[in-house]
Amino acid sequence: MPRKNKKLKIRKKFKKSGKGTKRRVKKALGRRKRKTKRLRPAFVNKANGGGGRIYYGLNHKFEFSDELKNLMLTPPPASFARMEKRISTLGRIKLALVSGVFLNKENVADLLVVGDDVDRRKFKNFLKSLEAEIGTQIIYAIMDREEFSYRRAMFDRFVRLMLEGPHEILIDRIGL
Amino acid sequence: MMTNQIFEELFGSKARVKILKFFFRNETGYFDLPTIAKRVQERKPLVKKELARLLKIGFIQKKNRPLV
Repeated sequence: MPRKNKKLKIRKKFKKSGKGTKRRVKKALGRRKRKTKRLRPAFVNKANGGGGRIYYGLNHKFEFSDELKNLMLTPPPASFARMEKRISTLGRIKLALVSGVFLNKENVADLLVVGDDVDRRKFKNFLKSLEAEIGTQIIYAIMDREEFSYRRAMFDRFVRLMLEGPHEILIDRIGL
Repeated sequence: MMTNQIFEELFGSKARVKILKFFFRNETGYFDLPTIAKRVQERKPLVKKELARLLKIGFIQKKNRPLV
């Protein structure tokens, strides 16, 4: 609020009392000024963009970086047996195979699930916890049986790469 | 025994293992607390505590901006 308006408001407040108005207004204004002055620093810390956000990242000078990385990323990032169990509860699953990050290899996608009536919400939750465990986002594809057969019959590039590239089959009820 | 279980016992914390993995998988990025907590699916106070530990030993560093 501009100072002028503030003055007016305070003056109105004291108007009825008549005597010594000017002095009392001045006093009240000063009081208010002190109050806001004291409060201000608590509002915003402008030094770091106003949000006070801190961002964390790997320190590449850390002495055991490489050794620790090898230790943590070399073994398969998730237990396939447990994944198989969880995937099979998501719907009528016909085929599930992993590739990419799960095998520490490069491929177009990391996870391919073929099945009918797959519960999308359950699938999303499953994916979230899996991503948390692995530490990265998973590239996945999910399709029903019909779409899969069609894509396979017409030698779809994606499906072909998944089936011919490095992969590990978790569930197979089609008979690949 | 599963590798993940071994790591959890070895490092003494499930959250810590996940955070370590998260940073190794996203080597070049900088992330704030809410993002990290969301991605590793752990509670913010716990993640904050672990981050403070990792910061102390110099495993990670902090910045005021998300980009280097």
